[in-house]
Amino acid sequence: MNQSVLQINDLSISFGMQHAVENVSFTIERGETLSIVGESGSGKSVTAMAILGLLPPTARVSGEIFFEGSNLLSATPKQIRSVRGDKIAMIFQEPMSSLNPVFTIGEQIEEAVFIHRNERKKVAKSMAIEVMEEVGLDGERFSAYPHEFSGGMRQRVMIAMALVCEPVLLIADEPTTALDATTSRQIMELLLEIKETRGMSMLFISHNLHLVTSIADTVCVMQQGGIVEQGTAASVLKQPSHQYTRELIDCIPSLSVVR
Amino acid sequence: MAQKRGIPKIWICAVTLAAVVFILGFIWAVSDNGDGRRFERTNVAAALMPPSWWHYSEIQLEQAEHLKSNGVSRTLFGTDQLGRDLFARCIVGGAISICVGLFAACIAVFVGTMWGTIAAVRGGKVDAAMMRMVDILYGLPSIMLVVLITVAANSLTNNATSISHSFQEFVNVLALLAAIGIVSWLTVSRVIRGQVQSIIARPAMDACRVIGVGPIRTYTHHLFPALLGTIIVYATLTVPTAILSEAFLSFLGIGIREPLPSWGNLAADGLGQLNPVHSRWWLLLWPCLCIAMTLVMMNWAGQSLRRRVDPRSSV
Repeated sequence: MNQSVLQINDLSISFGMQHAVENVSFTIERGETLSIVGESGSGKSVTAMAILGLLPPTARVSGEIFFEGSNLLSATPKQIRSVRGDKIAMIFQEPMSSLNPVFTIGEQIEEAVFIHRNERKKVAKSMAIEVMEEVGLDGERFSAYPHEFSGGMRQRVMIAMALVCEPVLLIADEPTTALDATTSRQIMELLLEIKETRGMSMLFISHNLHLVTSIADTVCVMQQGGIVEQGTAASVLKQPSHQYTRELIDCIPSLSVVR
Repeated sequence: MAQKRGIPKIWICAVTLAAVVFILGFIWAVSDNGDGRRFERTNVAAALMPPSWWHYSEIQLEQAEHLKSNGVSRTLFGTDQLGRDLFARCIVGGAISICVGLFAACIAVFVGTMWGTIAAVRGGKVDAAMMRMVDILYGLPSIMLVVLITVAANSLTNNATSISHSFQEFVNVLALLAAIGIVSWLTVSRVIRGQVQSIIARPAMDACRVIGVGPIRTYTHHLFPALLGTIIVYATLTVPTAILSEAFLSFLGIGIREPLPSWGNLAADGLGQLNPVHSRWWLLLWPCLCIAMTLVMMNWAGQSLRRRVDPRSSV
């Protein structure tokens, strides 16, 4: 049976009277990268949080989120916890503050191994070093602290943390927003490389439509909690059908305009 | 770079010396030569003697000569109305006071940490209800609560005639330390709640949840280490407060009772002997000096710890 990795049907999320996400549906196939694009407040991150069951208890969620055939919205907290970090991993926008300053990066990468694989210290360490080298970090910096790393290197640490348990789905929530242009490019190249070598699916969240086209197979454009346009990356960028998508494309400053 | 402040060696030496003297003194004070433990050994002939290094009056000199022939050793702090050695009583009383202070502080810090953490983590209505309870308890005079709890516990044991005397004494001390612990966790719980709230709002804690860390492991591996500094500082600052409450209650006659000594009830005894006719100053001076020195030392220790843990509050 050829199952989709992630299938979301009619997902709606509201906080009190505020509707954050309304009737969102999309599917991610194995090895495919789907990207959600939209301005801030359009419900991108809330959707990602809902997949991992990380919404605050005040949120009201309806719809279905199927991950490898099981509905995550009806799963118990314990079941969701066993999926998080193991089958579905996530990387955040802010690599500066998402790492705990009092633990070494090695300890933080190992953490997921201890929780999901129940491995011994030695095995966990070798797994951590392996994944560190995969993301372009020196394995010898295993016992360095986050403050000893630059922003781009910290984002690599975050990616290593996410990849150590070999997830089926990686959610990247604006992974390059807090980084400068060159580092951002390096991180994008790294994500592309990992995606190809590992063959995993990815949900890539961004506000930058041009950035997204380099990595995504399909693109969903969100505005005010709903999907306004959905299609392959190339078609959305070349022939945007919705006014909002055109605005998104135009709003990215290009050098030619400045000159 | 912040300059690293070391503890002056002289303080380490002084504190170690005091601790050694205290421990040896305690062993000496509770030693039993068949005549009863030293701090309880009464000798009416030696009643109300000043410290042996003080100048004696004619009558006291005679009394001292008499005692020497009976083989009574010299006393460093003098003796009380029943001729008990005040030095031994001060040391045993100190041990009791400090133990009560330490255990009460442990109870307070434990209860406060748990209460504050649960309130902060659960949030919402649970948090509001728990914190309003703290507010209400804050409003009640804490000493009155301690008095009520100890009196209730004592009346229970006093009515039960089958209980041995030493067990009654034990229950009395236990009730006192529990009562002090129960009323002093409020501040700790507020501080810990604030700390936990600020820690769980950090993105690093989100990253933790994303990896799938369970609630217990989150507490033991991620939250508790971050709280440890605050907990230690509050523990060291709660100990002197608890010691002071104990001394105060014993002074009023509600806390530790005779024949068990405590700095509080020793001071209460001494106060009655302070009169213009026959001023037995030593009965009041030593216990008060002991309390004052201990509290000052502990507050200094607590404050220097706080300065280390939280550099912003350094003055």
